[in-house]
Amino acid sequence: MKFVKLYKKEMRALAGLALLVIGITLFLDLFLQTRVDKWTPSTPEAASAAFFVVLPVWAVIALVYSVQQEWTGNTIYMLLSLPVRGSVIIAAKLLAVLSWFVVLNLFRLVSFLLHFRSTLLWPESGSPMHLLAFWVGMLAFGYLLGMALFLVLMLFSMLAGRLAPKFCGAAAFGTMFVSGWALFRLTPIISKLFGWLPGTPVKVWGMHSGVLVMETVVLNTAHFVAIALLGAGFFALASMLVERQVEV
Amino acid sequence: MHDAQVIVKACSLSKHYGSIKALDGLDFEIRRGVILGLLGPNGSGKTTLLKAMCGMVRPTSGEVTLFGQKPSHSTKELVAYLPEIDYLYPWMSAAETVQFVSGFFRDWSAERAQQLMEQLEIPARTKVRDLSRGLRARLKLVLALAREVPLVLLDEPLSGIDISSRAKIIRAIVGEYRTGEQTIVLSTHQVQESESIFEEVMFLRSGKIVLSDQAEHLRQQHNCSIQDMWEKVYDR
Repeated sequence: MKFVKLYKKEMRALAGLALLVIGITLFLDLFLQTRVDKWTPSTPEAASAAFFVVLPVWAVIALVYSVQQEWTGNTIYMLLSLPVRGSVIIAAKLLAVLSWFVVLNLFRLVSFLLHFRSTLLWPESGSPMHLLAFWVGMLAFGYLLGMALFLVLMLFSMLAGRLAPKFCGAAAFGTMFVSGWALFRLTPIISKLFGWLPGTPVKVWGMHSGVLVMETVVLNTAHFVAIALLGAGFFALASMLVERQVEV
Repeated sequence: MHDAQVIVKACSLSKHYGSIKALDGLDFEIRRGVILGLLGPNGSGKTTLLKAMCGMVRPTSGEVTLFGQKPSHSTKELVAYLPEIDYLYPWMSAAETVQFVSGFFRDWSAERAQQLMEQLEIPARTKVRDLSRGLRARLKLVLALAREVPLVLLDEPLSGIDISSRAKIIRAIVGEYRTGEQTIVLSTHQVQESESIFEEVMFLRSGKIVLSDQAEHLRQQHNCSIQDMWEKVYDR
């Protein structure tokens, strides 16, 4: 219940930023659709697809905004006066950013398909539904998990930066760098401990003789477990910072 | 062994910010069922002391306990804290703010919140960012007083507020105070308006307690009001 309250609050606080991206998406696709016959073939589609790259940047900005606003608006006093664990506070923030991130990606994809469906070169054996299934799979397995991990590291770094109020930004960048380095160094070491786990088969689209086909690749489960454990560790550290270290 | 009548206990409580000693070795106890005036000019340590009580700053040395426990997320269930600064979400309406906060506390009284909203004449549908400073101060007071909580910490609830709002705030504090059960710690440097409600007072200067006793006892002993005593303590 307390988590849901905080999650709803975070969702609403980010709604303005999310609606801005939705508006830009719509405007961009409408504009690019008018350029289909005027620009070099495939350029409008490519320009529209390139906008997907903006969404991870949006997630980063949204998280920074979400945390920063609590301090600049003094609402951190409200959060810290509530009888909730630090983990609940940061989980609500992370989940809200990730929820909007998923919504924006899906919206982007639907808008892209609706506007450029007729001009896209679909593979003979494929259809829009195949592409949608592939994209959703990618989002779930890689994109989203990678984004979640990155956001956890960012949140931890921003909170660690708060321990040095005069050098908040520099301390956060330094912590981000060091924690990223630690993640890369520790992942192979920890994954060796889970080497006995079987691989995880995942279906992906691949090109064979110029034809787009679905194929199965086997991912190293131990790497995922190691990264998940490290991510959980950074999440726990961030929770501890909120609960026991951060001062206002 | 924890004395059930002692709500707050500080032992050699110190908080330093670099070379600045915001709190300097405080030792005191606050007993159940009193309204304590925490008095002192700006920078005397009142806000830091209240923040330390609700776990928003950590002591550099010494400790403060609430109900025999160090401040943590669980002691926040037992404390209602009203900070001096505006800590409300500007995009929420007054009613949404009350609704948001109510979900976190088991001791929240929706009926009392409604009464206070009406008594303090807060427009429920207006966004916090559109409320005047006085109305925002009254809304903060609703959030603190709508709970049936044993300890209420009010940090400068009258600061920068117009006279009509101040009178309403004082009336609300007195009206909602549950004699004998609740403890209210009210920090202020505007003694004149709030003097009548204090049962005990604690004067702070540079993070140290310079005078602390029952208000009535101090009045009799020094043959003057707390307001006059303020002038003696800080103007000498």
